[in-house]
Amino acid sequence: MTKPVPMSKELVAASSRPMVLSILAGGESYGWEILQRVSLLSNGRVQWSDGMLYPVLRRLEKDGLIAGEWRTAESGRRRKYYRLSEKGRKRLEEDRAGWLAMFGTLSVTWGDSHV
Amino acid sequence: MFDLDGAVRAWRRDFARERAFTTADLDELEDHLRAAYEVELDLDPGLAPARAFTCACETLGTATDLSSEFAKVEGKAWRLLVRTGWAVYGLAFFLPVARYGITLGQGDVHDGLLPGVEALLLALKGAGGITGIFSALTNLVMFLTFRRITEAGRSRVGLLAALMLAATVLNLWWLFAVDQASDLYAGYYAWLASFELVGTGLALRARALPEATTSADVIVAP
Repeated sequence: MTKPVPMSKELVAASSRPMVLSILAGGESYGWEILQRVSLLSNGRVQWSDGMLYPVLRRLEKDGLIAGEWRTAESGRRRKYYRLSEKGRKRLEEDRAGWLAMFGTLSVTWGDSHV
Repeated sequence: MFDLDGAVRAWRRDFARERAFTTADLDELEDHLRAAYEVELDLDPGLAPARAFTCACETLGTATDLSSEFAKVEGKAWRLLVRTGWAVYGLAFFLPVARYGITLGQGDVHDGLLPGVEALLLALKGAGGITGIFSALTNLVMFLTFRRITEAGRSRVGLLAALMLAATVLNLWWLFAVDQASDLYAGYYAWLASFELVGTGLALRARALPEATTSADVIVAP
């Protein structure tokens, strides 16, 4: 694991939706696990403040991009699991195209060889 | 011996004070808190349980910080209030406010209803006395709300909300200045209500905004 990369709140805000949708595209998950995956997938470079994920989940759920369901976890605790909705899948495709275009453009501008 | 359930209950009580959280939100955050607590202890078995709980609470964030983020998700009502207020305000200028000669005591020069625009000009000329002039000047506060409200910080929006609500109270004065309330027409009430609507909308907005806007870990876009 490497150290978290400093990021503006605008960047974190803009990337939170595609990040959550992408993780849920790989199967249902819950808050704690989503945060662990963000940290793991980014090798610790992307570090979200724990509590701030929940308002994001609430907004995505309100917008119908993800669906939440309460179930009892193995630990015996009630836990809210989220899965991607059909609308969320479509939005993820749009987000993906946008981010790839942005990433590709920036990479070329910066002269990165490993694009 | 550390009482985890007791500590969780105290934490919930603290969070429940913020109106932005529903019971389901608190259940979900509690699940996270308990998971974080267990991980803290797993990572460092020598850690005092009370300390592990404090660490878990800290990583989750304070009730105030989180509630403002949750409130943002719900925060569309303020926009509707402010926009309705603006629309009603605009309308008030074309609706009859008073009757010539009666309400403002200008003599029977005209006979008919006085629309908002003319009533405003008369009030600015002093037809309603000094209080009337102040009341007419509250329109300037309304104009201030037209500018960049969405980007404004909490203190600015809060100040505008307070000014708008103070203006509403001042503008009630006309009800007592006229001989009888029936001398005032729809335009006046629309004008009065527009201040109340915009003021309330801005107050809601101010409450949902964070105290400081510099927090680097705010995820939800404004």
